[in-house]
Amino acid sequence: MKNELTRRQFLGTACKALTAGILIPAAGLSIFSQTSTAGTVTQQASWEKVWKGKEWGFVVNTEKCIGCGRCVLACKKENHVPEDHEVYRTWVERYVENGKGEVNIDSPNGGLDFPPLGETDAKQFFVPKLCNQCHNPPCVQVCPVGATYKTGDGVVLVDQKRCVGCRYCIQACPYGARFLHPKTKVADKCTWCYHRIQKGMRPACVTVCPVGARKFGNLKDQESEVTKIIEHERVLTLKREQGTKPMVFYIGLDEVVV
Amino acid sequence: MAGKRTILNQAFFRVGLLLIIVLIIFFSAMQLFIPQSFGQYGGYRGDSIRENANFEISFAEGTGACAKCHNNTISELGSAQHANIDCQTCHGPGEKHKNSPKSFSLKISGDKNLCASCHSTIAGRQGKEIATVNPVMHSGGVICTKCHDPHQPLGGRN
Repeated sequence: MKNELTRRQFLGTACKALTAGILIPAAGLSIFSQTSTAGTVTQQASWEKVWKGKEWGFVVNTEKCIGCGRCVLACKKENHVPEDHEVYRTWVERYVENGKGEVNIDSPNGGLDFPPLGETDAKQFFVPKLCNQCHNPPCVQVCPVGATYKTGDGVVLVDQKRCVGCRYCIQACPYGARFLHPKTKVADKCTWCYHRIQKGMRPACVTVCPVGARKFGNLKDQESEVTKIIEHERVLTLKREQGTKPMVFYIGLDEVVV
Repeated sequence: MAGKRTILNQAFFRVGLLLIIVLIIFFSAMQLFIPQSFGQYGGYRGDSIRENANFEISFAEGTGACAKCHNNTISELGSAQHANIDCQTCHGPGEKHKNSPKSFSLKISGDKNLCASCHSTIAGRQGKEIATVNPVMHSGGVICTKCHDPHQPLGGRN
């Protein structure tokens, strides 16, 4: 009997101590979280303000592209993608018909080292590729940890701190636009140079293109170059049957590419 | 009978207390492990937008920044073939050079490969409005800038 009482007393005291030990930090935490939520309200308002009236769009003119690969190199330099690894945020593909109705496609080193090949009169052209910043992005849908998302101005971004490198998004992208960064070991992709466009600059690939094959701008601005091109030119997007609604529009796209 | 009820009450109290403790642990863990800004704009960490927007810039915007110091070179280009090309297309990323010109030079050698990346004859480039040559046949290994001035490509050197 005496033993039982001691055990009850012990359990009672232990329970009280445990409850107090949990309640006090929990209360502290809840107060802390309340203050931090209050602190981020202004931030929320500012991002929605930044995004208001903006929807970025990209136009690629395959008729102009000369396959020089300056965009590929500039992108790697701007976004710290290792140059000695075969991973690319943007790359250039070459399509050459061989005269037998077949098309040879190559993109050695992302389009930096095209071999000359023999001279032919057959159809031949370059197609620069990059993330399509889909209106309906499958990569965002499959991410199990919420590490990739679409911003209010229409760019799909990766949260490098939250990504666990599971590669689901790389599998989900129908365009092959994603890769695992060799250094950070998290998913990486073209962001249309989000850090530049937020400061009123153009993406690095658009800046360096010597022939003006890449155009970038705000689709909600009726006066912007991209809006005018999409309104007046015949443009196509890639893999429309996937239902992803790509936001990169191509001028002069051939049937074999689509 | 009364004793039984007390035991039952105690049992309810204990189970209830356990439930409360489990819930408290659960919510404390939620507070602890879910980032503060998660869910602010959707199912992701709101702070990540700012982190993405604050990455370091390597390429300066347009030739406007270059013109502040190199106006002579830019006017020298005039209406030459390379006039509409951004300086950084050949010279490389210029943001650091813009901020501290002496520490980060943008001087480039007349590297054959650099010129060849646009001007070599390769499949796919035929029929485009660009002068192409076979670099080996054309110069036999002599660097391009020996004869050509990149700022006046067809003018030639004296």
